[in-house]
Amino acid sequence: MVLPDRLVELQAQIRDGHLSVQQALHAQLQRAQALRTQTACVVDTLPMTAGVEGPLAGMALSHKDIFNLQDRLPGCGVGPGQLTHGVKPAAAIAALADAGASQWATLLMAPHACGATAHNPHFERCVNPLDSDAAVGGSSSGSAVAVASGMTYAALGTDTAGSVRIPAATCGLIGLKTTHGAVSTEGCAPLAPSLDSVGVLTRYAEDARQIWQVLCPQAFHAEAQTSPMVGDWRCQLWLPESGVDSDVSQAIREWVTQWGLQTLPVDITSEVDTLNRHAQRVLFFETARTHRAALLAGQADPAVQAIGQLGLAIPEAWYQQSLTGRAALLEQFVTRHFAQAEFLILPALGCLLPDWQTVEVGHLAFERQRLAAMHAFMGFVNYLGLPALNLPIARDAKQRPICVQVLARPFAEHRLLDFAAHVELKDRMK
Amino acid sequence: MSDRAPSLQDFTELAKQTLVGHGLAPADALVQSAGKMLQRLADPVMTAPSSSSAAAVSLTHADMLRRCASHGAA
Repeated sequence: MVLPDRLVELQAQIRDGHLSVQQALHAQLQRAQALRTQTACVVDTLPMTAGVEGPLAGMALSHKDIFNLQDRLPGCGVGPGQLTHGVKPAAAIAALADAGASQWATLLMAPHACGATAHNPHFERCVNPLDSDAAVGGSSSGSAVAVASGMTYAALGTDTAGSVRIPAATCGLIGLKTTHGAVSTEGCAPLAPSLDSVGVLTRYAEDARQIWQVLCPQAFHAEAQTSPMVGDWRCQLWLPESGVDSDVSQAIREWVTQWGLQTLPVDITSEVDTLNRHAQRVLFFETARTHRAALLAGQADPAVQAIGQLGLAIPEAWYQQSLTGRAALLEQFVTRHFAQAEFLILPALGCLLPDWQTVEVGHLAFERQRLAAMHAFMGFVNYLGLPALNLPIARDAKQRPICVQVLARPFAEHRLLDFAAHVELKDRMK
Repeated sequence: MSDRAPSLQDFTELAKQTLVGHGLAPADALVQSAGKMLQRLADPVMTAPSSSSAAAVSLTHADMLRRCASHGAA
């Protein structure tokens, strides 16, 4: 049988009785197994139990290998998961299961979520389904590849400094980083708890909405608003004068014009620079605290060492200063950017999607600046705790995706998804 | 006490002290890298704004996220 392209279409087929839950699961599993060897994004396959009731019944999903599952600890990108009797599923995984979703696999990630690309010496190279020469972003690399290849309709990831949005941007996907604290991270291996957020990767905005409203039903019900036409949404637009490839800026300008968006140009270079520095203090300090024992014993994974060793050098007072000022900086940012506008639009990646060799540390073709451009506009969003959505808007000369990042007020995820649903391209990369 | 701006050497020394405080005997390369990082993160413009709201002083970040969620706030 041919599966529909969208999760919401499969839901409708089941709801209307055209397909049973078991038939739907079987078909998804067959498709996933057929695609599995092409992408190298699966860590472990799981014995799938079928939820028969709930809005996600019949959905065979797979998620980043960072979440506790029933009787299983995650491998966190350094190996397979460990069967451990008595472990309970992470809160986000449990919420999806309660809504009827099944999980058939765990997915590759950068070691301990430390990395802006899919580079992982513990596993085979994760291949971008859009273009095998193109980089795959991290750290939720397997989640992006599994969704982009069609192996799953939706995958959870986590985002501490761009780890949902960067892989989504490299694979032409919707990537929703949720408001800090909106979705429980209980049962999810921490990196920097003050910044960690659970996120969702899908091919379509309406599919992401199905997952979001299960993960955070209270926010969904609290914000029932009608959506204006795209041209009526008021947005601020930041196109940095430096650090962004001119083709990326041009594509964004053309997209804004194409949709008739009401955009107010802003220059927040200095503001973002300051916030990014706070974000780095917190990220490095908390990574060092999370992995302290391994770092002090000299046994930390090299990817963790790269951040954690530097984190050990950050004075506690600096870290506390950054946390203390966080609420005021958030208030200031929201006042400046969301008093008159609903969204702030900015580039996702600062560069066109590069070849994977150029962003793999240690490779002969490695270019440090290119790697830096992949995460330059990410960390400050985690420091503020705001929701953000990666949205594909165009393709470059190599047919690789160009994406924007759309920011909104706290807990306005559904508005981001409304916006994305209105503007997403009909001919999205598959 | 001098009012001079801290130099890279000052940050390198601070990094070394902090690392040693964790019980490490850091390699020189790590100390140098950490010193450069501290210099980059110690930008003097990094002070919290004088907020327009007295609440910002006492609210936690989680509280402020909720406060900023509605269109009437912040």
